[in-house]
Parts: sequence; C-alpha cells; structure tokens
Amino acid sequence: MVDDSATVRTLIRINLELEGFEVQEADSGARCLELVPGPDVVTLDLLLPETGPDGLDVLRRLKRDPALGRPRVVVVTAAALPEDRRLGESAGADAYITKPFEPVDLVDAVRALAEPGDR
Amino acid sequence: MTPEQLSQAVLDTVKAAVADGALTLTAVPATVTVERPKNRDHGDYATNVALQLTKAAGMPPRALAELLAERLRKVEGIAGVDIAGPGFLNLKLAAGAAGELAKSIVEQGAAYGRSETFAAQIINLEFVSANPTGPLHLGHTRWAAVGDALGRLLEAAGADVTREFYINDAGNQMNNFGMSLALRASGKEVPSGQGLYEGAYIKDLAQAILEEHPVLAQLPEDAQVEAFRTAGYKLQLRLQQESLEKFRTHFDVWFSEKTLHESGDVEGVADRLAEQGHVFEQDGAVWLRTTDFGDDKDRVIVRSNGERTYFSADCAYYLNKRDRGYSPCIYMLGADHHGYVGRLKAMAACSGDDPEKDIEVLIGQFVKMVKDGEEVKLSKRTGNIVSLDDVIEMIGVDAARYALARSSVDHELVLDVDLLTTNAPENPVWYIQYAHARMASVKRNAAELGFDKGAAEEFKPALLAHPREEELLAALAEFPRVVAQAAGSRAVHKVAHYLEDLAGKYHAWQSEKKDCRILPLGGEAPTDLNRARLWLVEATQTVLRNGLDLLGVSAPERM
Repeated sequence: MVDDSATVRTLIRINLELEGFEVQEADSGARCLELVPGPDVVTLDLLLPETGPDGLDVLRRLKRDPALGRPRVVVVTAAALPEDRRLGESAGADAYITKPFEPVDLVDAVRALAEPGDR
Repeated sequence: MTPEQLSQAVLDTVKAAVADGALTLTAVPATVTVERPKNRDHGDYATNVALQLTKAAGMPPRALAELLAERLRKVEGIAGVDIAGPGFLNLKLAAGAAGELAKSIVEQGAAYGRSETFAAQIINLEFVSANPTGPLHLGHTRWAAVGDALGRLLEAAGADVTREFYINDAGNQMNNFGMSLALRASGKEVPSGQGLYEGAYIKDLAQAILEEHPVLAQLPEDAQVEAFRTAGYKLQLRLQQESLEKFRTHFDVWFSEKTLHESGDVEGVADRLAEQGHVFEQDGAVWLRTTDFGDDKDRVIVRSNGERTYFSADCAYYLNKRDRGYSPCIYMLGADHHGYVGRLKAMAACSGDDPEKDIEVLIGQFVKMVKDGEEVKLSKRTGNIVSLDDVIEMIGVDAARYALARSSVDHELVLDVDLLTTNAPENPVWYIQYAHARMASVKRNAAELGFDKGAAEEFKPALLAHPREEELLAALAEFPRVVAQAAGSRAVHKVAHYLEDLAGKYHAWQSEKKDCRILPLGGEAPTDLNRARLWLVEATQTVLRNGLDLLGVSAPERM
C-alpha cells in the first residue's frame, strides 16, 4: 500500500486487515519498488513526493517488468478528472478509486483482484 | 432520555395538571410505565396512563389523553405526541434526546444500570452449600455461577447482599467420610453399599492428609477415623473454597452447621417455635404443625429418643439468619430438594414470619455436559465425577459461567463442550465478548487515525439518527430496567438474553458498512458524525461490559 499520507495508510491498513489481508506499507514509490515482487495487490497513490518516482511511473514499471511480479494495482488518488482516470487505466491500473474514498469500496476492489485464480 | 426519565416526565405532567386544577384525581399514581412499541410507526415509546387514570379522573380516556398530550408536547426532549386507539399516548423523542443517552452512559461508566430499586432490602443469599466430603459437582457449579451472578444483580439493584455457604458438617456423613479416608490411608478398599465414599478423590485426599500429618498412620483405628474426619474436612473445605475462588464465586460467610448444635440453637428450636403455638407433642416426639401453612405433612423436630432431626437444624439456621436481620432469606437448592420448598416456607410461617416476604426457595434443575455428542457422566459416589475444576478446565471460567447463567434454572441444561469452546457466532459467550473486543478495536483504530470521540460539549447527539442507531440507543436505554427486573424476578438469564440482543444490534449497525461508517472516508478528516458514532460505540461497550460483569464474565479488549 503506497501513500505518502500516514493517515490514509493507517485507514487503508485497518480496513484491509479487518478483512484478513496482510498489509505492507510504503510511503514512497522508491520504497514500493523495494517491496516487490511479493504482494498480490498494490494500492497506489499517484501523487507521490517529488523526491522519487511519481505514481504513474511506478505503475508503468510494475506492469511492464516481469521481475516485479506483475501485481494487480488499485490506484487510489485525488486525481479525479476523466483524463486522469484514462491516463491511469492506460498505464495499466486494474482499478481506479478517487479520494475521498469509501473504505468499503477499496476493500471490495482489492478482494476482487486478490481472488485466487484471478490471474 | 432513558425510559425512566420519560416515565418521570409523564408522571410530572400528570402531577402538574392536578396541581393547576386541570385534572382532579382521587389518587396520583406512584409510577407510570412507558413501553417500547413493536411497531415503530407508533413512536419511540407508548404509555397507557390515560386508560389507567380514567376512573380516578372521572374522564373518558381519550379526553384525558388529549389533555396530557397537549402538555407533553411542550416537554423538552419530546418531539411529538399522538393519541391512538381508546387513549394510548405514542411519544416520539427529539433526535438529540435519544442520542444524548450515549453521552450519559459513557459518563456514568460502571454505574450505568445500577439503581436503588431494592435499597431497603438486606438479603441473605445462600447457595452451593455442599457437604465438605468431596469435590463440587456440576449441580453445585450451576448455583456457583447463577448464585454469584444473582448476588451481583441484587447489589446492582441497590440491595445489601450477604452471600452465604452453609457447610453441612454435622451429620453422620462426616463419620462416613472419616472412615472412608482412614480405610484408603491404610491401603484398604472402601466397601460398597454402606454409605461410604468410594470416589477416586478419597484416595488422593487420604494421601495428601498422610503427607501433611504422617503421625495419623500410627493412631489406633478408632482415633484414626476421628483424626481423618477432622483433617479431611479442613482440606476438602479448603479445596472447595479454592475452586470457587477460581470460578470467581465469592462468599461473605461460611456458616458451619456444627456451630448451630454447639451454641444450643438447635436444642432451643422447639421452645422458640412453641411461642407461636404451632408445636405439639405426639408419640413422645415433638412436632411442628407445618400443615397449618400448606405443607403436605407435619414435621418432627425432636424424635422420641431425644435426637434432633435435620429439620430442626434447618429451623435453627433459618431463625439464626432472621436474627441477623435478613429479609428475604433466599435459598438456592438443587433439583433433589423440591420437597423442601413447602416445608421451609411453612416453617417460616410457623415462626411468625411472612412466607411470601421473608423466605424464598429457588430450585435449580439438573445440568448435563456433552462432548462429541456423548454425555460426560457424573457420579459423586463412584468417582467418575464431573467437578467444578473439570468444568473450568474443559470449558473455561467465562464460557462456563455464561452458559450456566443464560438458561433459566427452572429448566434442565445441557452444556455442549464443543460449542462453548468454539470461536464462532453460534457460541453465545464468544459472540458477546467478540462484539466487545470489536468496539475496543474500533476505538484503537480511531486513535491510530488521530481522533477520538472528542469533548462532551462537542458531542452532537442529533447526528445519531440512522434507524440502526435509534434501535441501538433504545436497547441501551432498556439496560437499567432489565437489571432491576431481572434482580426482582431472580432471573439472571434475562441479563444474558439482553446482552445477546444488544450485541446483535451492534453487529446489525456495523453491517451497514457505508451508511454507518465509524471511521472517516479515505483522504478526509474525521467529521462530527464519526465522533458521535464513537460515543455510541463507547456507550454500547460500557453496557456490554457492565452486563458481563453482572454475570461474572470478563470483557476482553482483544480477541
């Protein structure tokens, strides 16, 4: 789960853990790339600190580099315009959720992507 | 606003109408009842006060209802009043008035649910009262759980309660006990069919006594029986006390039957009862004419050979309790004591007491334990016994206490070991404890997100307006009434059923994941609604904890 806001990370972690998921946190794109391969699903903020790779960049690498395990990716972002969504989807996002988001929707999206035999 | 506060508001309205002459009553009632209607279209609460007072007021019920409705509409916290049928008043609370309860519960904490309903009563609660000749069995275990919980309930309802254990240490069974121990200590078998104690535990006890007092082995046979009786009594009583303590069952008084004989109380019973004129002599024996008060036959107090009966000791014990100022004296007896109800009550009446007020006899039905679909057998005499310690080991204190308390003692009970040790909603104790732990975890989650319920003056009770929230608040409001009613009817199981219903209402509230979300939306700051819901979580948690405490069951923060 990648987000630079500690509060958002906590909220996502609480909701996912309540549903029985194991969660790893990353506060930057660089940290995310250290944690893969491994996770089945990555929740990814697109607007990440300028010091590292931005979210779209991370998304493209996760989707293109087989060495990173090809995880499913749920984008969780404040970028809510239709063109933002198109950009995310064309970069390979499996689901696109805009902030402020309903935690239940996020959990549903992750569960749908994490189902065994899904890939 | 609780139902009690609403009842009071209705009563105050009646009194005010009398005071300003709008209403003339021959007698103002002491209380007014409000009920939660099954169909919520009829308001939050309903009262039949107008029907109840129509005669005393000399007014048709509907007209009286109109008069009261007009005044009730002006009461703060009441949002609407409708008149239904012949003169029922349906009351709708203001949103804030219902929600305000959450804050009130949190602020009262452990005190919420307690009342002064039975404040004038000084109660003697006698339960378990086992012979000190063996381990406590399943029947005792039922009373240990229910009796202790009833003590807690009565105290919560304001009564002054003394929990008492009557030690049956005066009868012939004590000699048999000493003899059984002496036989085992010298390596002999205990013969069957002679009223001796053959249980496997006798061997262990004898061994433990010998280890503590090796000299006993050297004593002549006669002296040995006496010595083993004394040492065995002390040791067995201590073991019972330790088991009960482990089961969180506390007694204030351990009353020895022997002391009644030593003090002359048993000997003096006939004279004391004779003062009331219900004692007579026949065939050389002294009798109490209990048939004067509904018993099926009269009872011998002193046999023709001068010996005192067990019943005379029962009389002396009752009189002793009354001398200590208790009323009522509550007896909790095992299922094989049905015959005692009539004779104990009649004896109380013979002593000049009111058998409906000064004495109560509760009978607890049998308990069975089942594991893997098979009954776990109990038999105190043969040694294949299910003891209190076994129950604790197989089920655990919380689950055992809860399972025993959740059924009416009037019914036989089957404890299903497999069910009671399962972590699943079908296991009622797990269901309630899990709900409590979930509430604790929601509060921890909120703290992780950097917020809590906030200051009391910032609380916005009117935001708790979802139907599920209204249902939950209404259930929370019932708790004090449930406690008082359960204490009054000696029905501990009603508290358990209430808690199961409450936990269900909490789960139902939280199953409305989006509409009743406690934690904020991702990426947003917590709102007043999130905080108001945390007040409701904490209020529910408080009531679950208080209720579990009444049953002597723990309320875990994590599971």
